[in-house]
Amino acid sequence: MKRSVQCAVIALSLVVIAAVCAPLLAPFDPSAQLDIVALKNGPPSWSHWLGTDPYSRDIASRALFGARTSLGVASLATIIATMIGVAWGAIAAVLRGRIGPAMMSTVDVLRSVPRLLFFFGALVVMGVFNSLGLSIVLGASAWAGTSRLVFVRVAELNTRPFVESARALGATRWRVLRQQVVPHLLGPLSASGVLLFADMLALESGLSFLGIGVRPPTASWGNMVQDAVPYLRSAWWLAAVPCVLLMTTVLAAATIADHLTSTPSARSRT
Amino acid sequence: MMVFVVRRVSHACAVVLTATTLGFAVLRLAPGDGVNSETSQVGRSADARARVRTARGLDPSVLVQYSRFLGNAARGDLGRSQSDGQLVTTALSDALRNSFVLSGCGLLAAVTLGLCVGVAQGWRPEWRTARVIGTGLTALYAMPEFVLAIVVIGVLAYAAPIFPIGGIADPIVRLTGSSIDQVFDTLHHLVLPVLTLALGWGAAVARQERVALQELSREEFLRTARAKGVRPRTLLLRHAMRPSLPAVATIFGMMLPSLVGGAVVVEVVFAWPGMGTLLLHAVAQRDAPVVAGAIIVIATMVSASSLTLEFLLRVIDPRLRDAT
Repeated sequence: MKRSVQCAVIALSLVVIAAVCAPLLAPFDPSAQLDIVALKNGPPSWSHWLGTDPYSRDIASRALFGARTSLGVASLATIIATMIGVAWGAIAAVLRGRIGPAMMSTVDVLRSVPRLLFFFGALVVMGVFNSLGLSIVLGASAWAGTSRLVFVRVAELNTRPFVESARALGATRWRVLRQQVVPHLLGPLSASGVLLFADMLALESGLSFLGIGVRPPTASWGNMVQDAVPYLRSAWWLAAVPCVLLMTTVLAAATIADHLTSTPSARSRT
Repeated sequence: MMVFVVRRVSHACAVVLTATTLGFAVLRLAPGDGVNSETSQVGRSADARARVRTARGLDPSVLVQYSRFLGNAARGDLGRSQSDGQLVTTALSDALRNSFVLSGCGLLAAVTLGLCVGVAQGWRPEWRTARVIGTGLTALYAMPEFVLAIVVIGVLAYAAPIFPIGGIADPIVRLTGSSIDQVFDTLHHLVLPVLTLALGWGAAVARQERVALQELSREEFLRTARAKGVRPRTLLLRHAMRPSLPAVATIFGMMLPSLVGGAVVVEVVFAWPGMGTLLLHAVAQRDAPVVAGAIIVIATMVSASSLTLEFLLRVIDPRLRDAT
């Protein structure tokens, strides 16, 4: 493994551990306004080692709980998108006749409509999302790429000898798909899943930053940046903490995904 | 070629139809039908409200309403905004022009930056500076756009106050400046958002150009050209870069829909009065007609530009002409 990939794995694991253990690690309640007068935009100090935000909340605690929200929403959205994508792509590849190609043309069309537009539409219809709703909408709007990947792979695997022999032994199409083909997708899917995770993380934080994602007072890295932007000149560290965390995590995930796509071990599993 | 044209055009039509359906769904599913929520209707009887509904065509079945909506949209009538009663098309047209200016300049800057870095990396892989810049650009590409925008603002508007933090024009210059001053003022306001877009999008171009050049460098026609004694500069510009460009343009066209999101965020951060800002405000007010209109217009624009790009590619690259 290359040095950069090692660093990425370590960085991502640290962030995940921090998110999981947030209640143990956080020194304060992330939503508690400790002292709105004395601690507004407080600089880093011994008791608040990353400072306090415009509402006098402890930034370190918010960053830890924000990691929970951001990573949680991104992972759930990734899982949802991957599940829909695998189901859609695999079914389209197995169906005979015109239905399969028609399903994939639908995906191509959906892919050509900017994803953000679906999100804005859903927002007008449903009003406010909670974190669960946000992950469902994000996941439901992001499966097109995965389904394309799965479709191509399954179609290719269907021509392989082991699939042919399974079929010759009398296995039905669906049994072959479940037992022979889908396990071979794990390699490429892990790569695309990590990449999708980075994408979802960036999207979630972007939406929270715009004020239409995770709602305050629940901390998310995106809405922490939103809170900090008016004070960019006087208290730059408010924005720096979530920005650095976001950059590190997204970059780490992208590096790992890049490694997974380009290594032979991931490819040979297909 | 005919097959290709038919397939691409029908794809584009399907995209526009999907966006229109999405817009209609937003209009129909949004809570309230614009009659109950209007202040002028407060205190009126249910009977009177029903008459208003009939007058506005809200009675017939969804299918009839949908076909009527499609017909109106095709004639360029997207209804009126629920918040201020303005025609949606009027509200969109100014925003659309501003978005064109920003995205167009961003695209131009991104392609320039991306090609320079990509060529430097792909053509001279041993050149260290190019490699470092290329890696840096890839890192920027992984960053969410708003983080990039905040870093750009922090450095070039706050730490070194060279450029304005946002907006499209200085109000004083707009009122009192000559037209030349106004043009320069707008350009001054354009620099930071364009820079953000260029840094974000440029990496994609650079990566494609680098890969394309690396693959081409093994080709025999380049060795022949070099053996003939073609100067390195001519070799790069005329023999290597020309066949590398279609690959870059293709990938870029495929990425177009996902780039729109970045443009929306950049517009909002820099308070640029374009489609993104408009859309966000409309969402905040739950102004369904404006959101529906913006969805339709943005999707149509994206679809039209990727269609144009693909046709241009066919014209430029003779190798593609026979492919379907």
